[in-house]
Amino acid sequence: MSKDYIRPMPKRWWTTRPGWAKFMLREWTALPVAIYCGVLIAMAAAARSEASWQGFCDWLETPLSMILHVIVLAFALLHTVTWFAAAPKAIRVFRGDEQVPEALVAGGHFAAWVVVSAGFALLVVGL
Amino acid sequence: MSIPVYDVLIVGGGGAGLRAAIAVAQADPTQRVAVVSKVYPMRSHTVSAEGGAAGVIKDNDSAEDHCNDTIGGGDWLADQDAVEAFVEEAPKELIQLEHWGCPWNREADGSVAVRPFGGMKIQRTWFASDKTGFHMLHTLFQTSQQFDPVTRYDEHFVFDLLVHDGRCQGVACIELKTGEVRIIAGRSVILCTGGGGRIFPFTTNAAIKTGDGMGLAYRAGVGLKDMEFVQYHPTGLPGTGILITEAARGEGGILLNKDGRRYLQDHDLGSPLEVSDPRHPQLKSMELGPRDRLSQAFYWEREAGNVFTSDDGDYVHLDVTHLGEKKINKRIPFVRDTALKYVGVDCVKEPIPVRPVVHYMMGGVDTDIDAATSLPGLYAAGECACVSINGANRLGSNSLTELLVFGKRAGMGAAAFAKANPEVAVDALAAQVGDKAARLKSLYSEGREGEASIASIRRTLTSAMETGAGIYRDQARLDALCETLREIKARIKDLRITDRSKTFNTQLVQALELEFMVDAAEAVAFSASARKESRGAHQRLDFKERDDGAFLKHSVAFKSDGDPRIDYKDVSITKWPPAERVYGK
Amino acid sequence: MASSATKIEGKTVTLEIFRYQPDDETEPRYDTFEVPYREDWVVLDAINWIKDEVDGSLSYRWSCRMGVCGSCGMMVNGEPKLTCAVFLRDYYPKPMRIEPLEHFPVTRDLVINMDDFMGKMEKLQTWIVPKEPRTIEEGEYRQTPRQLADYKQYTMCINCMLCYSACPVYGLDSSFLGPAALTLGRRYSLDSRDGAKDERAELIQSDEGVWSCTFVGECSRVCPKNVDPAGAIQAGKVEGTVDMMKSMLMPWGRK
Ligand SMILES: Cc1cc2nc3c(=O)[nH]c(=O)nc-3n(C[C@H](O)[C@H](O)[C@H](O)COP(=O)(O)OP(=O)(O)OC[C@H]3O[C@@H](n4cnc5c(N)ncnc54)[C@H](O)[C@@H]3O)c2cc1C
Ligand code: SF4
Ligand code: FES
Repeated sequence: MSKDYIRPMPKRWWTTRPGWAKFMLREWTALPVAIYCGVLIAMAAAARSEASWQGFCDWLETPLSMILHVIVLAFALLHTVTWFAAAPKAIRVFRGDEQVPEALVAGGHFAAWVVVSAGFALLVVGL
Repeated sequence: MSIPVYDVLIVGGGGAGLRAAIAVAQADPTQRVAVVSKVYPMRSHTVSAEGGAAGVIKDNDSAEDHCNDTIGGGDWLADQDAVEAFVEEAPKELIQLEHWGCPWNREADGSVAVRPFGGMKIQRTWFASDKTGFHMLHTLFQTSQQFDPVTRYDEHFVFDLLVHDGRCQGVACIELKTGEVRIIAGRSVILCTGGGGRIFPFTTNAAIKTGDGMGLAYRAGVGLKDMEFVQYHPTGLPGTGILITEAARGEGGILLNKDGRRYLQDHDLGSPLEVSDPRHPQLKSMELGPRDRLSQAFYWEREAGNVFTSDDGDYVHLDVTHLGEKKINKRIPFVRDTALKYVGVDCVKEPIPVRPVVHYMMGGVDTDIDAATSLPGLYAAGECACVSINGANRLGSNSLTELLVFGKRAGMGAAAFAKANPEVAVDALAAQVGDKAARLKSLYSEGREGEASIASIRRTLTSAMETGAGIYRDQARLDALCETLREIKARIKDLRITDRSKTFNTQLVQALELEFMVDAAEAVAFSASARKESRGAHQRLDFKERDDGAFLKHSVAFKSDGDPRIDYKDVSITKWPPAERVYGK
Repeated sequence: MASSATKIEGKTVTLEIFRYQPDDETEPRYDTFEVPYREDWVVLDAINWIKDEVDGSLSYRWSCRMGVCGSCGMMVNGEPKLTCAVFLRDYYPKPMRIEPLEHFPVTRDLVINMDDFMGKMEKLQTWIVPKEPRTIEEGEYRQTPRQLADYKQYTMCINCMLCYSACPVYGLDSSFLGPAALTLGRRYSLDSRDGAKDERAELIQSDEGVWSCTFVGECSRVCPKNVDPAGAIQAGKVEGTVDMMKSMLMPWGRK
């Protein structure tokens, strides 16, 4: 009967389209961010005794830790940006009979993010 | 070969076909329905309709007014009993579609909104932004999916009606995917195959509109009624023929010749109001006159050398710039989009080049008010049929409603016929198809080394139609056209087919479609040649007046061995005696 | 192989077209055609020119040539496009590679098999199941422009299948209901006239439904009608989550 030709997906399918590559980048970078959360937990554990806290602080100043932080920061930023950019997809806002443009909704999220981050920064610096 | 038998077999899955299918399934769930369509139903041409569907709903409107506009618009050739039934059932059908989920535009209070349309004295056109046909078709298709008795044969091309014992009892078709010839039997058959605008070179019609159903009926001995009436839409894009909806004028767009003059005032269509005047646009006047008259005005402007010329043919300007960006984006976004894409014009800033293009066929398979044809068991509805409610010229937005009203009537009529005539001669049908199937099979396996290419014959046909049966006609040009058609009928026997494959052989489909196109074209040409008067969309330079004495009649073309035979049938007149068509007063 | 015998005057452009003829071949091939370049031609015009003038056996679907019937979707240089809505001028003078929409079985040449989608629509009950049935005599349901706006965008889908070609999840596992079908399901669930939201939710919230979506987002980018299927799916996830929370926290609140 039917002799339809099936084209299987190539093994490295995500390399074939920029949109898919971006998606995979998001997937893969999620892992390091998760691991970094482990680091934070280690920090909490270290805070229990003076000595281990000091050791932890020393490690934080090593170049390796610096590099790790820069990378994780970059990844975390990527996730923040893509998350907020996606927000209007999940939340449709109406004003009157018309949908508020997506850019505006996303813009609102970004603005809120900046404000909250600034607040935290003040808090930390203020300490 | 096992032959499936249905109670009602519908050819065509456009607006008319789907409405008929649902009507049968709802009325009696024990009856089995088949919908056979050469494309997936939601690809049918109804999808392209933009403007809207007419039906009396508002308090300031009345059935009387809708009848008046329709009958006058049709230059008194419409059957008035049919128009009355149509106008009466129209709002019910549109409400039915609303219940099925059609996203009609709404007023603030949640009731449906209506817009003005050409030739209508009162606003009564229901619309779903500027994609009305699209929304109607998808609503009908999605709704039809819930009815189990409806079986679909998608991408099956019907090439023959099977008649036995004086009754239509089924169809022969090709399943495109496999190339198999199939017989499907039906206790009754409804043709809903749409129009045939593709017999002309410049048309708003989609590629699938090749007049197949008209050809099928014609070959089975059924008459084609009023085929000489072909509607030109005044505003198509030069080159592609893509439509700029009448809604552009309904919203206030104006037509200008190359000197920037609103030339319609010179052609008896009223006098223009300033575009800033709150009374502009005036219903049934100037730009909102009927389509035939607007297209004819273009012809005379061209004769007088008042139009623009280009490689894609002559054109005039449709100017909507005064509406402003906001209104354009809100009310006619698709117009802006289309003009920008296909002619590179942003209508917010510049006028759009437009020309008349073939849009709709008023004529079609001759049916009575219940959609029955002269062949027992065969029904027809939609653009392929001619009841007639459109007479010599259809008013914009009456057609979409017609699909619903007469689609339903056809469904009910066919279902009743099936109940009364349960027996089907399956073996006799199979025997009939043998020869034709063999011919098709040999086309697949051997192809045909003919002289004539499909494209070249199609070009000859369409350009002959434009010259011979265009906006204005005369005997000499019509005679030349008839002669060309005789030649084409001889040449087409020698069509070249190079595709030997059974799977999805679109070249074979094109060849079969071309044969149907020739049938439809022949009926148009010979009916036009015989009608020696001017009425509605049929305008003759050699017979400029309407002649009610001789031609207040429907023409009916019958196939014969040589030229078709043209008969005449009386028009049903109930309350509206023929009068002069007046616009702009 | 095939190159045009017809002599073309003026500028030309090269089209490389995927061919598959199951009657006598088991593998596809690519044919190269030289076609006239015209500023106002869409890609479909060039393909039609090939069929009329060079190779009548080339098979593909098209009809309206105005971007509304949804027939003419193909891969153009690896991107899913409506070929009646993209112009040669968008690619000129580079050659173009035309292939059938990805992730679908190929029936022949540029014709894909889309039976799968048709079945999915039906499964999702893409029709109104009236919340409060009404007779014709009672007139239309009242629906305010605001209520219309809730679902209107999702009615604009022309079933062109471009989004499925852009979706790797569907490419890897075709049991995923996919962008257009899920969006159409949601369209009806959001309609003020409809009462089958809960029934549809079972399928929409199932493994084949919204939760298979990993939010690649390409479907919305390639959609020619701005339907935003990705948005419909994400909103479906949010709704599913809220409903689940509600039924956990207030089991008495839902039936
Ligand atoms: C651009 C455009 C805009 C329009 N706008 C409006 C408007 O605003 N208002 C209005 O009232 N009217 C409008 N019209 C007219 C109206 O859209 C058509 O008259 C109407 O849609 C025809 O519907 P139908 O159901 O008769 O046929 P179609 O929708 O054309 O369906 C025909 C069906 O028959 C099938 N078929 C045909 N031949 C075969 C075969 N051989 N074998 C199997 N199946 C076959 C096809 O597959 C298809 O399913 C417009 C027309 C055009 C071209
Ligand atoms: S959602 Fe968009 S891309 Fe997908 S089928 Fe519908 S119109 Fe096409
Ligand atoms: S041909 Fe209809 S969408 Fe392209």
